[in-house]
Amino acid sequence: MPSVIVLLLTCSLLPSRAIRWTSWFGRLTDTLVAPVSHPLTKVSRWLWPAGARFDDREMQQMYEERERLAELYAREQAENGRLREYIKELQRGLELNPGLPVRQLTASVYRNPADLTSRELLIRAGEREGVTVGTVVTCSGLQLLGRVTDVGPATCKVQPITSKAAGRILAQVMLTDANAAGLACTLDPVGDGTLRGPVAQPSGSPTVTPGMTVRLNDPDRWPASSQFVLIGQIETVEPDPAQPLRTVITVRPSVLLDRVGEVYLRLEGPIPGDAAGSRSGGRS
Amino acid sequence: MNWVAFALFSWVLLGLETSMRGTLALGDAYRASPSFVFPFAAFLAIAAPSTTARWSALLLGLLVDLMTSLETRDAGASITLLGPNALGYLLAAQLIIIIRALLFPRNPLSLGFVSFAGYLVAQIVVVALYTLRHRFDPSMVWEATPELVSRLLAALYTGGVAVLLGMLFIPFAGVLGLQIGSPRGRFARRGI
Repeated sequence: MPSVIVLLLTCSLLPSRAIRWTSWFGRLTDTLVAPVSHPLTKVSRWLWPAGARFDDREMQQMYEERERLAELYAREQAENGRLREYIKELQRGLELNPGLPVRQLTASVYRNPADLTSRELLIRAGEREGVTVGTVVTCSGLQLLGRVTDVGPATCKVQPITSKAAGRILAQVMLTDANAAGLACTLDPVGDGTLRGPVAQPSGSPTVTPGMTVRLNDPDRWPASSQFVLIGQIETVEPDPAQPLRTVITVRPSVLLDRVGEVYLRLEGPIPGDAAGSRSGGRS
Repeated sequence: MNWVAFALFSWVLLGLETSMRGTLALGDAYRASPSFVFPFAAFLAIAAPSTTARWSALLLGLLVDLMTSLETRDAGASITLLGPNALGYLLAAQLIIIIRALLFPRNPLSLGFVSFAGYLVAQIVVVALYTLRHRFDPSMVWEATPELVSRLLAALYTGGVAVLLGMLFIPFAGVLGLQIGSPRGRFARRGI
């Protein structure tokens, strides 16, 4: 027993690169526990859903369709502006890169971490389905959930945007659904399921109010296919304590991200083993 | 102890732990959720022989460690750290072994109380080890004070859940090869 205690104490304090091998055992335990955790997760998510539950399946589909169109419209508007700029550049002799095709894969969450220090979700989709590190993940109502941080053959880990480790994201407060006009903001995860940060408000710009929609607009760190995906709604608007003339907003995702039961993985590139790339994947 | 039954119980409880923790979590700033595995370790510490109780607590803690991945700021990579929960569970089991002579082992409230106290001790060990590690590994996303508050609340929550789990564990003591509530020590010698 004393030697085991010394070994575990040493393991606890070894540098990260020296304990990479432990993740293999973690995955093995995962596989063994999955037959129990997966059905129980399904039951628990059914009993306590992440957000508003639609009694009518058709109603939910319509809501998601509306959200998809709003996202697509905002993205197309932004893309339109960007293409105008590209055309100008092309006329100067630069080459335009065509966008990669995107397909959506449905997968279920099979467990949370055993310790609440981590907010990662474990998903039943992995390398076999074409999931890679960095794949963007959304959930019900096309709410942005986060990004894949680790991929195994059949499973992957997703780090939600509300996790402190996820870091800063650039977003846009949508002033109206009719066009892509909005105010840029920088959001940091607070740790309580919300994101908080300042809004750039040029003089004469409309006032930011609670309830406004905030969408992703971070082309440098997130793929083009995920731009203008929903981040959440503004919960509070308050002056920055350090600079009272600046406004700080708190954004809450439309669903509780750690209670999500089913997610959509946005895979870029052709479907593995399908040269045509026209089929859409799905698994739950 | 019947190790096959132990493995089966551990398997189901780990499944419960990883599927229900997120769902049963309370609070936003300080998230608290109950543990299902720790009450089992506490139950074994009450009812099993000392050495068996220590090894089973160590094993259960190790399984919790394996099912926990710590997020880091290094491009979102996470690490599986073996040790903090295993050592925490072991120390908690030792505490329960010391005080078990004073308990009514057949009363689920006893399990509730030792689960609260033991889980608190285990989580203090976990927080101490993570904090120590964080001092030389700043990529770890870690804040000791909120974690300690969350875990104190989680200990209370675990104590409550343990009372309910105790009602399930006590009838299954025979399956686990344990003789719970049998006279011990001086009472045994007097035949009481």
